[in-house]
Amino acid sequence: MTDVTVTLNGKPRRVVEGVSLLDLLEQLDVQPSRVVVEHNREIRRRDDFAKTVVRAGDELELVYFVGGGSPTDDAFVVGGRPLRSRLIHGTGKYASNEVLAHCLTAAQPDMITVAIRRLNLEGGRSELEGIDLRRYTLLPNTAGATTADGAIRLARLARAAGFSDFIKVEVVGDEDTLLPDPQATLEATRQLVKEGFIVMPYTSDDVVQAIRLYEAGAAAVMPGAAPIGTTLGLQNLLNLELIVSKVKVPVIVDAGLGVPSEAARCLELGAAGVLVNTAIARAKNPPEMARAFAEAVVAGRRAFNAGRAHIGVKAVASSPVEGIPV
Amino acid sequence: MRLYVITGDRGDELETARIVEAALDGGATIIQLRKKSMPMVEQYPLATALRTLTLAHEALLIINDHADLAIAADADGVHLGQDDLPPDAVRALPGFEGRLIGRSTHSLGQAQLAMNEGADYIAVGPVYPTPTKEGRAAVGTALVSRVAGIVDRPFVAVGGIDHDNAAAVVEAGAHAIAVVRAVYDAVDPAEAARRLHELIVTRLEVARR
Repeated sequence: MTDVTVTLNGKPRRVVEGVSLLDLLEQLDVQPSRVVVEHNREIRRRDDFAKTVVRAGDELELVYFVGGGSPTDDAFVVGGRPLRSRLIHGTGKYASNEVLAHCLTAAQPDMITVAIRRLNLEGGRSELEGIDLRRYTLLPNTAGATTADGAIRLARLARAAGFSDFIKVEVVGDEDTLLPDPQATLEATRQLVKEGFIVMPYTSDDVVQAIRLYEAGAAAVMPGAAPIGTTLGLQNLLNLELIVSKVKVPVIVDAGLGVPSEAARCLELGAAGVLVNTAIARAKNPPEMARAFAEAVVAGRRAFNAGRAHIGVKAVASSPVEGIPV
Repeated sequence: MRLYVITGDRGDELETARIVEAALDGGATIIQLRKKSMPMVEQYPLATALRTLTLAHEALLIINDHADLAIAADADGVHLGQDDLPPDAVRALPGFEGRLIGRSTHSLGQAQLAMNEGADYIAVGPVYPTPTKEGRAAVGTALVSRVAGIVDRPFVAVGGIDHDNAAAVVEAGAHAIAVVRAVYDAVDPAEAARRLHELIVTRLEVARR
């Protein structure tokens, strides 16, 4: 048996010629269930470790799981579509398309939301010139609909015209707060699920309504943190936590977030993602804020995967206490 | 699921309904009732017949110009030309709530304006010369590309499109195509719709790669 040199996590290492991946992991004292193995830039399935043979010059990357999460099993999937970012980016209220384009470059979102019936009330431009929409998964919303029928028709139109199978159901029930109409939202969700849409309803933070939407077949449930556009932040953290614990599809906190720490908080408690528009569009420096939100969701998710420390009611010193003169 | 079929002027109620049903069988997802010379008293029963057919095929029914007929026949919406009522006036009509508004546009400026006015979808054309819109200059696939680059909502390319040139329109960025003659006047409208639909879907898949 001869030793050969391979590259292990970027460094040269001598291994026995022809050793299997499984044996190599054992020699390295690494539990196979705790790593993802990339062998010559291809991810190897755990079942194949025993029959995968390592040869001279091979490149191996071992990626360790941290706290139950890993790059491979921590995908954000909505309606069967894997999304690279847990930040869903809005496209409204930007001072110009140029600012929006800079924000998208800074935040690198995968999914962006567009209003099919966007009325231009504030003098800005509604069209998205200079932004390559094909780079994104479009989430059209039914904003502007005030009835279930209206939302259903907008969704059908989006699909019939080849625009998108995804639909964010948004049925405004009160013009002042723009809070959603629970009954119409549920009705539209039921019908559109029946018709095969990937339905992501916007809802208030009502726990039972979120459960009903999940039961109706929503691909994700999108509770608001605070009314749309207010940037008031997390008004009812308990309800969001309860929704996350009850709903078995991704929970995406939508509407009302103000600062990135709130987005991180949502992810820490188990929300799958956040949708942010006004907090970025109306920040003093929107692209910087976009980047901050993108970083916050990564940090929040990492913290969720890491698992928070136990909450104690009695102080426990962090430094050693023995040997210290009293 | 990307074929928008507009009725031609010829044919009575029965003939029109027969052709529309064939188009739906062939995969049309949106039907527009457009009869420039048929009296409204005849268009009403035709519209209600098309409503029944489109519902059975899970397709949308849009009425050309006449918002009153769209409401009366419980259609999904109305399609407005540049010379018709403004969209916000139509949207405010009693009984119109929840219905869709589409708008014909012939330039980038008109497309931008239609979006700012809150049209739910826009039609861009005529892409090629067409007897349906005699005297109107064709805008070509160049305008389709430019509109595709700015729209944040559904849009359809329309005007003179048939099985021979549809691929170029899809390649220009259209996700949906609207036709009159290519299906309505075809010898076998179901087969024509099926072939056109298949071509659009195939081209879109190629474009995605």
